Amino acid sequence: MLRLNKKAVSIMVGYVLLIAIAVSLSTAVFFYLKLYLPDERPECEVDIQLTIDSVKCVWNDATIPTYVNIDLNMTNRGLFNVEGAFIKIGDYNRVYRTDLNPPNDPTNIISICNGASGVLKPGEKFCGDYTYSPVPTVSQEISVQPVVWIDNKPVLCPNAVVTKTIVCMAP
Amino acid sequence: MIKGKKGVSPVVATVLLIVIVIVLATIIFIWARGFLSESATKGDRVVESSCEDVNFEVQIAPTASQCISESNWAIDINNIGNVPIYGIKVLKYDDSMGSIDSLVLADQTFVGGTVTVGKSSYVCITNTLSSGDKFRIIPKLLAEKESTKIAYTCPEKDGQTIVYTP
Repeated sequence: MLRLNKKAVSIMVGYVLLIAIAVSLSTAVFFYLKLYLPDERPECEVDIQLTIDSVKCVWNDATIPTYVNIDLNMTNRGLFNVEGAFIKIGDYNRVYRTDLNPPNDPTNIISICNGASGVLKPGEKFCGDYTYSPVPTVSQEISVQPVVWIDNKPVLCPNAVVTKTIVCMAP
Repeated sequence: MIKGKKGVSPVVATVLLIVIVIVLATIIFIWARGFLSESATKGDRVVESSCEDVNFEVQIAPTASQCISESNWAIDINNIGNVPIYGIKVLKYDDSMGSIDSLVLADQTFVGGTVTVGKSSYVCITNTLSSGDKFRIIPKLLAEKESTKIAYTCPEKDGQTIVYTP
């Protein structure tokens, strides 16, 4: 009787151990392989498109300018909402750009022309006024890169960057 | 006599099985641990995968106003992708060799540190350049290896080739 009980426990412990080992091994293998498998990275839709309608770059002073005022008008001509944009400016012959919209708040389109704020829906216009210094000595290129939120994360759209070359002038 | 042997055999077999399993598991564990420690990670995946997602514009600017105190040359970078770029490794094409094994700048970081997504930066360079010089710009990412931050240089295929034209 006693021997029989011992055998029963042994088999049960054996099964429990087997299952525990199998589960822990499969978990370890799963997380290990997960590192190497390409996951689905959030990407922008193809039909996200902002267009620059007009840009003006005007000195703050006709004789001794210290900064320039930039007036930017854009339209969302794509098929999807745009939650934000990196708006940058730099010399036309360089890749280096300076941020025009607040560096820590790139996803905030705050001055939609119709007074609304937040998301720029298809067909809506965006008006932005910025100051920039020092006063540029060569033609400038302004670039706008849309940002959308996917799975609560901001995602940049590398294929939807629009640029426009401008010349800053006296008022 | 035979009965006695039969009684012992299952126990020995079980003990042997357990010993073999433990030995095998130990070997696999040690092998896997060594293999895992070789891989640097960025976020929740190996850094090599992040390298494939790096997207940037790069250029050699011959008249960079920010680099007047140096040679006036700069390497501009514009991070238009979704992966922060920690730095770059610059290799120069050696036309006589037909390869790019001539190291020009190593472990070069940008003004302001890591170029986060959507941002732009530059690095002043002091090397003498000639028109037509061809370079391979390879991004470096900040990764984690055994709880330590490291600068990981992406594979050469994830870089970009630029030609210096003054």
